[in-house]
Amino acid sequence: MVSNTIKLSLGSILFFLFVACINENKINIKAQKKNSLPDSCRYYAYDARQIISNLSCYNCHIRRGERLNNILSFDELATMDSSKLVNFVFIKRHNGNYSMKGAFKTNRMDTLSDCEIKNAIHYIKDYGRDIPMP
Amino acid sequence: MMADDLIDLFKTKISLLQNQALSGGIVAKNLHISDNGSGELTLYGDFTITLKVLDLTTGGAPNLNSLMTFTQQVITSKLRGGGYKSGVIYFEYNSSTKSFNFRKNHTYSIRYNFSCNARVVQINMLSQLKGNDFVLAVVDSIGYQFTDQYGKKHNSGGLAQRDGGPAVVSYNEWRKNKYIGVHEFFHTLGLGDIEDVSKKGRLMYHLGDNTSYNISDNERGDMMNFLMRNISDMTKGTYSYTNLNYNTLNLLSRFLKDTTNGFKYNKAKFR
Repeated sequence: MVSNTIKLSLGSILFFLFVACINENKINIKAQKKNSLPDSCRYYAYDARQIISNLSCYNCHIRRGERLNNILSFDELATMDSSKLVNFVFIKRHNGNYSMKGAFKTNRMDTLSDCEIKNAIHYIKDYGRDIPMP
Repeated sequence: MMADDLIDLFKTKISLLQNQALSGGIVAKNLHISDNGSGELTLYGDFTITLKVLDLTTGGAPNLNSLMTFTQQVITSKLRGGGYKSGVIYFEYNSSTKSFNFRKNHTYSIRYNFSCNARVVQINMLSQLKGNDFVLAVVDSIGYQFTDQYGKKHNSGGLAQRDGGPAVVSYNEWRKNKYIGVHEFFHTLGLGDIEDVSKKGRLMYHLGDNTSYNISDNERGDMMNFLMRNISDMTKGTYSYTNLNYNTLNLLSRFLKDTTNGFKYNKAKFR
């Protein structure tokens, strides 16, 4: 009788521990989903510049003080606020040309991760800040 | 063609007719484009890049000439060999009319076949700085410190504003590391700093323990892209980037006066 009670108690403890572990995992997963960008998403100016260079942004958005064919210059892009930039640069303004099915699919923007997009925007914003380079 | 382009072209042609030297940090002649018909444009041109050095040190800089000669040689050699960029989206080029169609886009590979000659010259008066000339100011010391991506603090031997802006070097640090002048000038030509410790052999690595001073093909392509910032200007034949609205002297003045940069120099020389 006593051993049965002990077995039942141990079994219950094990069951509750099991359930507690599963719930803890679920809580962790929810917490991770809350932050859409991983902790490893850090800004490195050199890498962000490579994204801009590989997308060949500077050919049409000329760096400073001059517009080509009335296209905003790069320093003009830098004056936009970040949320407007995401919308302007990556969604609307390029008319889907840089998407997977667009005319410029080899340079498509929809292969950029959220982290790369965030860093590209950071780079564009920094361009207007004239941060000295050592 | 826009009104500004026409004015630029007019100025350039007048200068050539008067046999005057074109001015500005970048002067290009014999510009032309070759289209292979399979999506590759090769850009040709003879470029002269002038970097003006301004000595602002208190006690003078006796080794300045040799440092300038070294810098001139390294800039010329690093820009040799041209550059290549693939997947460049631009406007469609018509080789028979030698013009770009600004209503139609095209993806090209661009081969930069530029012959670049660097001139590093000393100037003695501020009036010798005009428009958007490139300038490298030599100062006594730089107090600016930066924290690298690993969290370590470093002193700065030089400091520059990117993409055409002024560059400044500390004379003593330049004597210790002759490549600092080139490193800062390449910021002016659009390159960024490298902090990845696996790339210590690169000239733009800036954490002080370089094993070599190489430039990658991609970086060379980026600098060529800066030199010919507007590819459609290639059709003009000659080109002098003298944007008077981008005033180097004012930019340098603001840069030197910015206390966060911590420049120590002879202020009497900058009046």
